[in-house]
Amino acid sequence: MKMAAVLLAAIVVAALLLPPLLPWGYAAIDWDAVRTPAFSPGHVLGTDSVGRDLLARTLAGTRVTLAVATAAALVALVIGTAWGATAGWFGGRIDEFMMRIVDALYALPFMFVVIVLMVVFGRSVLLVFLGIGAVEWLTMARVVRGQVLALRNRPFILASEAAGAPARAILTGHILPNIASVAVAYLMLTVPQVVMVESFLSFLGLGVQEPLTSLGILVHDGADDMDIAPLTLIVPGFVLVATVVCLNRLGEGQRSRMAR
Amino acid sequence: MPCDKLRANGLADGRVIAILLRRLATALPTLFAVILLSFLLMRAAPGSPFDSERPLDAATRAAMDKAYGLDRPLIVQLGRYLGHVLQGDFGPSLVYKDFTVSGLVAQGLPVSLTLGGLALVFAAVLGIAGGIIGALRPGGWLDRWIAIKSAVAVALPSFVTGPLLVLIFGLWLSWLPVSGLDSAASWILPVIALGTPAAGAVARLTRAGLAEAMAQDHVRTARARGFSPLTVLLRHALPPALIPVVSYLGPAAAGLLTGAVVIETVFGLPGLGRYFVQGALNRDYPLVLGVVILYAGLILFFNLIADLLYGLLDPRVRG
Repeated sequence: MKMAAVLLAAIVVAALLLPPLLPWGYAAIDWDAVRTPAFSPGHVLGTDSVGRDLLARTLAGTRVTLAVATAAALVALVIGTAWGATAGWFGGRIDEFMMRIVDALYALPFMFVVIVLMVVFGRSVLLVFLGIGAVEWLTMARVVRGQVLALRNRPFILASEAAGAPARAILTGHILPNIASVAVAYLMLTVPQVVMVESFLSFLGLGVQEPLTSLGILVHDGADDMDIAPLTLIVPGFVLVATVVCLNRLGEGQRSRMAR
Repeated sequence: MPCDKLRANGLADGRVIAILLRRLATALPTLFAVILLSFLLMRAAPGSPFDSERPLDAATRAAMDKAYGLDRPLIVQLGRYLGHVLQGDFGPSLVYKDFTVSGLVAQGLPVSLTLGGLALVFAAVLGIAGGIIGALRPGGWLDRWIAIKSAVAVALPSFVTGPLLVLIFGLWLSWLPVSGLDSAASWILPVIALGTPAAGAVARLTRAGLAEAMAQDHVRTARARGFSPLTVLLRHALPPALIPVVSYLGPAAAGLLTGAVVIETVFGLPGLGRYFVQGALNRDYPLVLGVVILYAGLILFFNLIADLLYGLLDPRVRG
């Protein structure tokens, strides 16, 4: 848990603060150093097949991947919370209908729907995270609905209803603050999932597009060059897996603290 | 399983059929919604599949549209498409000339199903074994080691493990073939790369299920009656512990099918996923549509199977 937090913090801080300090930008080409091995002067981790600094590229890719993941997870948080809270609050037929929709959507092959979206509307970063966020909200909706249902009949909620508070005020004033901590735990578990989806799409060439880069694109490029420059595969692959493992670990820790 | 036991489990009576019907009642509309949604999206897409480097002149364009029925009203197109799909005809592929989508699917599906099936078996065997071994000594070093390994395995995307395995076992050690399907050994690396995350998930679910089951009354009774710890674990604790594993079958099938898309690309296997990616990159609408419908059908089918197995393992569900 502590190790996960430290490692994740190191990755995030490096991705945010380190790039301006490096001698090479992530898209800059060093014609004198194509495919140099690690620890060459100026290129700590070496370069790729067209002479771009691997460390700079990995950091830039991490930054894009994390930004997309955070944005998409927030989209999922907003949709999921709104949907789940409405269903849980009104209950009855409305609840049943809304959760039926969630059940039906759960059974959809989401990755394929996102890919269809990419095919149809072209490939843009905005669409990547909107698409992913729109499909990752389902778990959030279920969790929030459960929480709201449990809160619905608690005395303090009944009291404010009896006192004549409007539903909107009760939802924002009493319900939301009480479900916030659980929602945050699931938000932390959504982020690594989005990281996976984004990398997957980018790996296939359907996600983030050049000249922007992301961990998925780097792994893909690395796989093409691995026989000559294995580090181009290993470094971004390691950062990706480490990020996901750490985020999962932290999210699960948060969730089990909630359960207690 | 003998027939009388099936009956005792309620599988042979009407209730299972009722579950089946209820599930079908949501699965079929979902499948229809997938078809409708993808169809409309494809038609709403800017650009036409006939756009290429050189623009077509108006007459040719009109003739092409007519030949593919693209000049008819949308609802007519949809109706015709649905009618053809029901007959197993997904239309011609626009990129693989001279091939129908059904022909490509018929070629690719066996490869994808074999890949997914082997990966599922790999994940189930390794995961359940890992979960059991961990539960033998709760909190022991082996238990903790397996817990760490499975947490990492869950986060190992197949597009990272695939190339890494190729690098290590194919290029550096030259032990295993890395591309194509020339021998049975060709399956080893793809199956490992695809099955690893699922194996990790199964191991965690089994381990958690066993921990919960060991605390239950019937297991305590079995232990009190003096059965050996291994017998208690395997015969009394394992069946209820496997329930979450079985309900993971639906998501696992979805995950394996999606992962297979990447694995087939990485290892050059002639499966559905490769056609799907090629279709998606080339805007081959009929191909993408056909494969999406097929994938949706497969995933819904596995969810259905998971629901039925769930009822078989846990008598309380049938209530």
